[in-house]
Amino acid sequence: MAKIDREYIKILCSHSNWSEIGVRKTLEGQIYSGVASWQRFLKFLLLALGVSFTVAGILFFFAYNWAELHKFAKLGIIETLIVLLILIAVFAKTKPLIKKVLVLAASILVGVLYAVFGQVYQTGADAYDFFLGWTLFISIWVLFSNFAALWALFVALLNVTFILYAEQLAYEWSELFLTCLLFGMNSLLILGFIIIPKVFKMPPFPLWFIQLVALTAIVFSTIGISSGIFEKPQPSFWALFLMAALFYGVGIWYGLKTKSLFYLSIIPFSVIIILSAALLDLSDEAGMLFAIGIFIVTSITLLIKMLLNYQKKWES
Amino acid sequence: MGKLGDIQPHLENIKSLEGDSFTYDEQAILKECEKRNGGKSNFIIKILSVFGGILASIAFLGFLFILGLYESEVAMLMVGIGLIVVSFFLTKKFDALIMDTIGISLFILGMVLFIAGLFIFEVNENIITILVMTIGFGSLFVVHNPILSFFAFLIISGGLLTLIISNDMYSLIHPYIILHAFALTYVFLNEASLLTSDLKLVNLFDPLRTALVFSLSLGLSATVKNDLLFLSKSHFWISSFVLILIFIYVVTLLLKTLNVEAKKTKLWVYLFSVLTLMPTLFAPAIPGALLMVLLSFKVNYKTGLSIGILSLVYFVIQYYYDLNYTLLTKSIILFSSGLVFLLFYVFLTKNLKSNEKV
Repeated sequence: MAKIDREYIKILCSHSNWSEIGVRKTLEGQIYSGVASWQRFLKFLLLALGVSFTVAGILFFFAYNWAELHKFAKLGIIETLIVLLILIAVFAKTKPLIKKVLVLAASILVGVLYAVFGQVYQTGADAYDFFLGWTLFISIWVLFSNFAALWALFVALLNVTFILYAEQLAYEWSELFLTCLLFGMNSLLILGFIIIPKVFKMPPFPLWFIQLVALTAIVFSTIGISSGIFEKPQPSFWALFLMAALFYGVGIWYGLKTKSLFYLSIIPFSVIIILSAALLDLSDEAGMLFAIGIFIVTSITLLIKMLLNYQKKWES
Repeated sequence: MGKLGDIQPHLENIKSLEGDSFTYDEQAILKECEKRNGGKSNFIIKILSVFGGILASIAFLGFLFILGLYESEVAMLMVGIGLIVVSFFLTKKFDALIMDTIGISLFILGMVLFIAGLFIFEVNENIITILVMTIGFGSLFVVHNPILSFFAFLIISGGLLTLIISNDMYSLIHPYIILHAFALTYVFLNEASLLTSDLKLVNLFDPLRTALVFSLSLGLSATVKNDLLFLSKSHFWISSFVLILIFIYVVTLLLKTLNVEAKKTKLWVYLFSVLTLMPTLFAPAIPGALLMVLLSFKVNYKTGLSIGILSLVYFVIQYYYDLNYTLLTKSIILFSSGLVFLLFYVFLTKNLKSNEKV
């Protein structure tokens, strides 16, 4: 017999005289975390706390900028730590998860190394070259460890590098052009994260990671297009618009194919926001605002109805 | 058979366990299963209705203000009350997920107009807050829509916070936190008795649980960001102390779940918990967030777990950021506590392995 879910328990509770003890036993036996999941959770919690506190401790140590410590010692300590972590990760006989966490810690320390370099040579810690270097020098580890958390750091670094480059060097880039670039990059990354594991028959990336990158891409396109509507049309706007149209289409197709409500809700939601912005651009008088309100309520309601229909179809 | 068939074996099972005294309304159960099958509330659908509702209410608000509704406070009050009533009516009459967006947007709009109208009338701030809280409380009895009930619970807690802030009685944040922590623990640990209670709390259970998680983290955040409330740190230990006690109590329950019998192990666990929490005696946010994480994981409640973990990360970072030590001291504290956690990780892994071998 399949396990009962919470929803059914609630339905049964409201239409029967099921005793409290019975409900409690069912909840404890079938819904609540059992011994095995508690053990996994506690282990993971301690490992995550341990590694993050230790790395933070190292970070704070170098942020303290100890004057008596020679610059070679400062850089040397971090480099030794990085080498040590990687050596343990490669040669020690331990679980893959621990090895991956060690590589993640080493990758964060590469960032610390750059920050200390910036501190010693007074170049400032937010120079885009540091982030570029950080991204480049961890890329091989990212590729080989294939650890979602490390990939998340990598994607975040790519985005930050682009944004800092635009701020510090590429003055001629318009904000829209940058948004266009970021949207394109993140969309291509998602395609890669979905297709490459399939081609090379590797285990797929966890859902949370792919959806996080997809959400980032959609936030860029939604903000870019809805704010671009109010400005004078420029090539970047149309480029972003066309790219978004293409990727939204692919996203909807993918959502239908993999039966994922995630893509089928955030893409239409983004379209609804963009269309509302377009309506507001036409006129900002009372009648139009009323129309926009009605449009949002109707379109979201229809969207939810459609999603429920799909869900029903997929479940049966 | 589809979904209706799914519940049949469970019903038979319960019948055999409960004996002859077990009675149920088969028709009602089947009807509700069918309804659920046509619209199982999914997390992402709820988020869509909430955000859609908020966006639409902003547009409608813009419309009403351009029309000049703000010129007449009576009109604002009347329209506000009218919209709240309509939203109650719609969500009650059409008990379907697709009515959520319109219901939420009208409810938010109505509330904003109602509050703005009272403000223009220059009604005392406390009276406004109490009135709004009363509407929220009343709606719990009238509407049985999960999202509106969630908003209603948030309005009640938010009202309490508003009363604390607008009367400059900032220290009352501690009773607020303690009250919410007790309520959260009670609700999480007594799911069975709440679901089977005669008070018909089944529909209110989920909204209450989610709202408590949100309200508690809101209260805890107030102790973290000092520019929000002018709090005297000398009272912080009160909240912390109670939160740590509740935490230890939950750990006791956890030891039972994990079948830990050995006195020595128990002692170690308590010692580890107390030593880890000791430095947070003046930072109630951290034991509070830990309590949320522990309780949410215990009852397998994912939303609570995510909010708990996010709050915990934020509170811990803020704690070390605000700590009045040199970076070197902070570094030593962080590094050594990191090593202690890793040591316990190794200890736990080894222990579990040796248990498995036995």
